Amino acid sequence: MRNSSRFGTPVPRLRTAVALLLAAAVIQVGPGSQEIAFARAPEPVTVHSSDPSAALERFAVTIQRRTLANGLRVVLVPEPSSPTVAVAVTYGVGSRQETPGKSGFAHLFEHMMFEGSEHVKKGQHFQLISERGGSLNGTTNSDRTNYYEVLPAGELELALWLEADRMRALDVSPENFENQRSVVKEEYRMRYQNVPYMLGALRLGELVFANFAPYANPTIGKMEDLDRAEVGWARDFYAHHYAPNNAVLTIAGNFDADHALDLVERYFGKIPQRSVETQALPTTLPEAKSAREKVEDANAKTPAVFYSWLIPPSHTPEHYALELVAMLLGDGDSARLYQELVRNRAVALEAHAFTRDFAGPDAFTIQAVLADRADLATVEHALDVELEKVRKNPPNDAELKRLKTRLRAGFVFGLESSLNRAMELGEYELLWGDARGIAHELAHYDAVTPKDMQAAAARYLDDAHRVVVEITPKPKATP
Amino acid sequence: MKHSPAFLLALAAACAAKAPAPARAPAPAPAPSAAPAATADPLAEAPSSPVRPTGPFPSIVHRHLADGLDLAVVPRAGFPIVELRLIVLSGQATDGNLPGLAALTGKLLKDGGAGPWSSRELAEKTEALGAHLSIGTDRDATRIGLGVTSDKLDPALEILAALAEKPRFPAAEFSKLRQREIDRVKDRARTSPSWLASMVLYRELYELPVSIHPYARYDALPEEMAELKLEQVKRWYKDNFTPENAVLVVTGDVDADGIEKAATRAFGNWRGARPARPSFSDARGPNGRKILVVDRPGSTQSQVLVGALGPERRSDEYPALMTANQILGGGVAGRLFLDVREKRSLAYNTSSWVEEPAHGPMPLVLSAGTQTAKTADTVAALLEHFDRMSTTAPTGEELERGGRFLSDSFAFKMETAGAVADLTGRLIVLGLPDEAYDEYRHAVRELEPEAVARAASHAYRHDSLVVVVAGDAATIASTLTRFGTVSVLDPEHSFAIAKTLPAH
Repeated sequence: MRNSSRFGTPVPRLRTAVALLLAAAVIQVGPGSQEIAFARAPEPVTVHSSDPSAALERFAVTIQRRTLANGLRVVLVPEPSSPTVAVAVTYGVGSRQETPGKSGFAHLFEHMMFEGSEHVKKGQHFQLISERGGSLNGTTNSDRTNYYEVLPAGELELALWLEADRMRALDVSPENFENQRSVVKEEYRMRYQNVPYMLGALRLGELVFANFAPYANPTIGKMEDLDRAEVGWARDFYAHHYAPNNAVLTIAGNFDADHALDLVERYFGKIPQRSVETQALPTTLPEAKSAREKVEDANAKTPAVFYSWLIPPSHTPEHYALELVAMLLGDGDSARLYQELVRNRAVALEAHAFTRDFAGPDAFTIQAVLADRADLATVEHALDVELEKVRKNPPNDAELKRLKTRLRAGFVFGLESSLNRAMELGEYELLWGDARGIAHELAHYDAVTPKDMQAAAARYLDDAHRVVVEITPKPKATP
Repeated sequence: MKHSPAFLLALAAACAAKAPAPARAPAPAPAPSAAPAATADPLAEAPSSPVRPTGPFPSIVHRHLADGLDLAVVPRAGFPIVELRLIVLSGQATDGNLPGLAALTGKLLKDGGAGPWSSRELAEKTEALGAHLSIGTDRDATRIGLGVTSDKLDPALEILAALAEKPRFPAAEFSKLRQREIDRVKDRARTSPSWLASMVLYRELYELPVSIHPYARYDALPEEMAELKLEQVKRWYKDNFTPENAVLVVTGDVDADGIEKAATRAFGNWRGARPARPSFSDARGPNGRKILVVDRPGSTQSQVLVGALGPERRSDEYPALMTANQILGGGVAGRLFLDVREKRSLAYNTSSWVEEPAHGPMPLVLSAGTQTAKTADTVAALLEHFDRMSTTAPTGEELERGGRFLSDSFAFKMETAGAVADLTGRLIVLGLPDEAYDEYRHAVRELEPEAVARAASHAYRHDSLVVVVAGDAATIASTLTRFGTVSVLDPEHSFAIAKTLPAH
């Protein structure tokens, strides 16, 4: 339950997923999710929400896991009352594995996965899913790439067949590659070059991750790198990353688990294991340096200011605390930045704060778009005052209780549909090792105290390590 | 447990109409034989599946409260969520000569606070329930939405009732909100090509000789917004926010009796009669083919919309027209996606849709975003597909695919309690019977190609359409004269015609 900001569509998350199904590729640049994070669990078969309230005690998700002989991890989440079945295949490759000069390739390759495979003609994937009443998409971010479909219950086998065929034998033709290069370049123009503040947001990411190149590299890539890409790279990329032992297959919704496992074995069992490239993430935070840059933006009507700081990886105690700080400052109608800058003082049109929730070193970001008559100095001062408050004073109990209640509700709503379950649990299994850990997520947030929030803010959100991008409207070219 | 006579009637009607929803969704059909010939490659062919009936739209339980408020309840066990939608059956179409009034009133309900709560307290109170309060205004309705975990139902109703019955409308908050709204529309005008194109599209589709059609305005202009007064907001609220003009939709983890009691407690003192409806003169659609460029100097991208007016929502041709649209551009298997994007690489986003106003003809829209240099090619491609709809019947395969998608995709379209609440609300706003979705799903599976061709030929008429392009006029306007006379509009001056280029 979060407002999405104007700066880009987050990867389909929780409540927003279904609305985004028809956008054929989605890239993360905006706020990431804050609802779900990591913990290792013992081996429960059925996990219950750890919520104490009566209604939520009835909320249970049954999770089963298997690993095939070829290394494919399988997560099953049956829900017999659902009218649908959803399948997600989450691969352990994202834009952070791109090498210099090849930015944007993980996402360009994602497009190639819809262009046909040994037994599936170009366009047939779309047609088969549509004609059985389903929907599909794929998304790329820094850490992973996923592919998913949701269909009426009873159509599981079709989804497994399509996913298995493209995992086993993708058809990469030069013609389709050119074609998708053009589509992705058009995506870049439409969603970045032509959208206010987007280029500033990309620059902010480059600056805050100046000492960690894998995340400085934007998932959409650079135009010149997209131009330079070669079809041969696609074949290599597929060989090095798209192996069963580098993927998680998740099935959620109305299906019979035993039958599903038979089908999975039948369709995926013979796909050979391959050696895959893995990339270790740093165990310590890269050095954080302060920086300030100005970006002129021809699409912007009013100035904006973005702040960002390096913070510890997702699923660490400090990250849980900082996620709550982000919510306190900039997520929701009662958030401090919204109430103070937008409503009270009317100096900003929008103000958001969010963490990206990367598996490696993460970023905490604040974005404020100025109101028509406001000036940058006033808005920066107002942001600094609010930052000083969170660094100096713990939030009060009512505030913290509200944040935790919102997280709890977001957790329940976020797991309502089969598709969200498949995507969330697939990503969880891939990045954090065991999908069942999701049952303990709320407990991690519950463990955060007001003092933890203040301490984490004081430690990480300081001026000496802050990256700032000022965006100013570029004057119109005179004819 | 006591039931009012109204309840018994409503229940009887619901039962007569259809069987109660099953407690569980239909179980998956048995899989095809899992014993293929020993040498067969299991991956060689797509698994077949029989066309199977999908579960019906869940039964809606109707209740009528003494104060006039209608309840529409869809209980769904299994997940501890309740979705609430208070729908007031007045939207932008009731703005009259004050564009933006209904939408501004909706926003001030939230931004002004209600009952015992200031705006900030209202936000805190809502978020303390873990909920997000949304208020949206479209052509025909104002919708106040709240989704909560089911243990928070009573306080959620209390919030809805305060908003409906006791908004504070403070002058200071009104001034701030109006200024934010002026900033918002100025910002849209500068930054959003689709906003610019939409401002012109509906004006053209709903153009009348003398008066202004209630659906002609997509959004208010900054100068129109600046004219709105708090007294007008209060008047609009008083006229339109009445129990006789509202329906409360509740879906999820509730039972109808419980929600009736709770809603009676929350809304029992709400008073007011049904307002007069605006008059909807017949919009006839564009005369000929109009080409309009909304100037966006220096834009690297163009947003292209092609629009026409089709039949009314209640027309018998509705299922055939929706199927035609699905074939044209309703998704990733539509002609626009497969040709304009996947084959010609002209656009990243391209699609078509049919809009469903409560009164009069439905707008049909084709859309594509493209780079400036490819604008004319993209307009040509959209017009080609538009014309093909009216001249060539779809293939049997296209029909089968489109119809089955429209029918079977209800499985995921009505999967969540929120989705069911929105679909239920749509029936109410459009004045459709509870069975409308099931009848529609049946109809789209039974269509003959001729019926689709006939509906398409009536709707996609080459002599009545409008092409709107938001983009850099200096570069693109002259390239579009091959499609007809091009008018360039200036969004900085109320979208007046700045220049006309003759057809070439």
